Amino acid sequence: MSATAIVAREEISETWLRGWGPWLAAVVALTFSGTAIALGYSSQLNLLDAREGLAVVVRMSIGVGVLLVVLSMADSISGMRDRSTLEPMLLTPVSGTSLVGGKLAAAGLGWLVAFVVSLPYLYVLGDGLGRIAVAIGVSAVLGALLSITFGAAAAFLSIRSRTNLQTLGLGLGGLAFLSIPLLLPASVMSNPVGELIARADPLSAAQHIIGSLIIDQNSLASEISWFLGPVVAAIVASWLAWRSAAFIQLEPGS
Amino acid sequence: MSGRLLVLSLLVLLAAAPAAAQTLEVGVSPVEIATEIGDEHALDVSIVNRGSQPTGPLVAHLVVIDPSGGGSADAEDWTGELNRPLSSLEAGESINLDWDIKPIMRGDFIALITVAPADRSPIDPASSPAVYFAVTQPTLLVSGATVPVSIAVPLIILAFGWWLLRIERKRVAALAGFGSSAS
Amino acid sequence: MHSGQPAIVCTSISKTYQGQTALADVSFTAYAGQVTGLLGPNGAGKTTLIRIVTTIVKPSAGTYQVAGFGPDQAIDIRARIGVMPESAGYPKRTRAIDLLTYHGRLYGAPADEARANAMEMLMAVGLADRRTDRIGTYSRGMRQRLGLARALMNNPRVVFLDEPTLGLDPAGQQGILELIDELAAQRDVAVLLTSHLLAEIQGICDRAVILDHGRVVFDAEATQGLSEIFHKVTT
Repeated sequence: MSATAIVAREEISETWLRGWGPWLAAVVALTFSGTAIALGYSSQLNLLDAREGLAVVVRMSIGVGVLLVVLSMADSISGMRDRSTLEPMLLTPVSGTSLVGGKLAAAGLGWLVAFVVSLPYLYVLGDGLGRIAVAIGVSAVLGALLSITFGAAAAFLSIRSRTNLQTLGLGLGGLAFLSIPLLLPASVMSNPVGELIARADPLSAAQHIIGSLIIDQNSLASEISWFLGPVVAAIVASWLAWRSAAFIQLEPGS
Repeated sequence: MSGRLLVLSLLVLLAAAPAAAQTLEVGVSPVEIATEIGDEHALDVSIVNRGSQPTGPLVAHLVVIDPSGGGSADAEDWTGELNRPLSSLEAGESINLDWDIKPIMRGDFIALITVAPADRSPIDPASSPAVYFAVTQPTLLVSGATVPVSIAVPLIILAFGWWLLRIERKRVAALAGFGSSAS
Repeated sequence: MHSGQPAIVCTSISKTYQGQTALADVSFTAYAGQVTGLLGPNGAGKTTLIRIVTTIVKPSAGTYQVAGFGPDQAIDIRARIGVMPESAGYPKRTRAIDLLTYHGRLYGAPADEARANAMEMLMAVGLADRRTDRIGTYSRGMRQRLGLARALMNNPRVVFLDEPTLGLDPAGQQGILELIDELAAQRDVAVLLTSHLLAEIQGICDRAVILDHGRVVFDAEATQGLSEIFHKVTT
């Protein structure tokens, strides 16, 4: 078994077998339940289009999953630094890239759990709409891409930060920055510059893809170019995390 | 809104006009529906050209009237297809439509399907018989599998977590026994 | 007197950090089968020196060899050393045997072998009865002993112990020092032990290096002259 796999296995065991993972999954499921009932009621009144309800669950699945990955990865290195558990790990013959890679793989399970938990809800809310397969596909692909992007970015910040508080501050600042296009009016985002920003920003691109493929029922072929932004973001963030993981260092002591 | 008033005025005019041979004949079934909010019903609408000439392109339109409110309800909230464009009907030709309707308000309502020429052809518009809706509040907010799934999934996960906890306890008990003879 | 091979060879190591000189031209050698005491007041540069030769901090200048490997062979060095860092933290919810098994696996041991090694180490440091307890329930002395067990999980050739008796009561200090003495004698490893209190470790050191403001001011066998120099730099 490779060092990356050993780290990932230990992290998964600590969180999902011996830790709070299953209880957190139950809380996630309860959140989905509350949302599904509210959406079911709304769509029954036809106040909310049923396809929009489906899109809400997809957004929730991706959002909750990515949040779990980000929180886990933000804590990965700077948290260990804060708790003084990093030094013993760095003293083992495990490279920084294996350490971070293992932690990222384990954190990715957080997204996978959120995705799997969302499937029954997608099925019941999408019953009769003919968009269940599309919703599952969009949730899987975008969820994986955004989890890699934001998980790797959180790892990068966690490696570079001196404290967990610093990681959290920088991470939330970055997320707020990437959310700006989502808050702008559609008229601004529909001009060429706005569209370029929306395509480059993985959050905006994901929002567009979900709306276009699930609500507007456009074909994948017509929207495939919107995946470029999230794919590039995932590659860039992974490269940054990989590069910085190779040089994890402690500060000199007393 | 103005379009809806136009249709209503048209209906009034139709009712007031002296009886004349109608080119278009619109039928609908059923004509009485007792239902709950949110339940979907399909109206079987038939349109026949009783004239001797082709009708030209037509448009069918759903009207929902709230008699207690003295006007029409928002029909676009009751159906996803307020207007249905139809191609020209030859003399004697007929067409059948399924029109899905989902009432969203409690009360008594009247629904009508009116058919009018989409261009300026000299054919009188025609209306279907009234469909009387008696809509009541549903006893369950959410129908279908949503509620059972929303209850079952968290319970299944909690059961899974409890099962993992038992496995962990067994593992720790085994570790506590591991090598104890040596110690 | 030293009979063993050189296990740690530091040559002109310097480290400057944020404009401060932490270490200046530090050179010394520690040998296999001996306990070398690295002494000095707080802030003398002991922990920085240990972090450099254990490959987790880069020196500004100079070089070193540990177990025959240089700074460019960090993974080889880490595979052959055991380190008990000063004030190392522990995952509180993890059980002691799980922590040691995990560390054993990180050194390449299969799961069963790593668990058997972990049990052996816990017995060696007197924690076998508490092996399935969560580390958060351990006293400071027990955590120090657990740290020593973790440092020995890979059967190291060189062991670094940074202030191993820090915060322990006299009985706890005595227990840890006896363990270290046994370790050097039985396993023929080189032990580099830091402390800011000479009296604590003088009894078990074969050799001593005294650091003051990042410079070596004494490097010889632990003799009576050691006390005088140590007293001079700490007053």
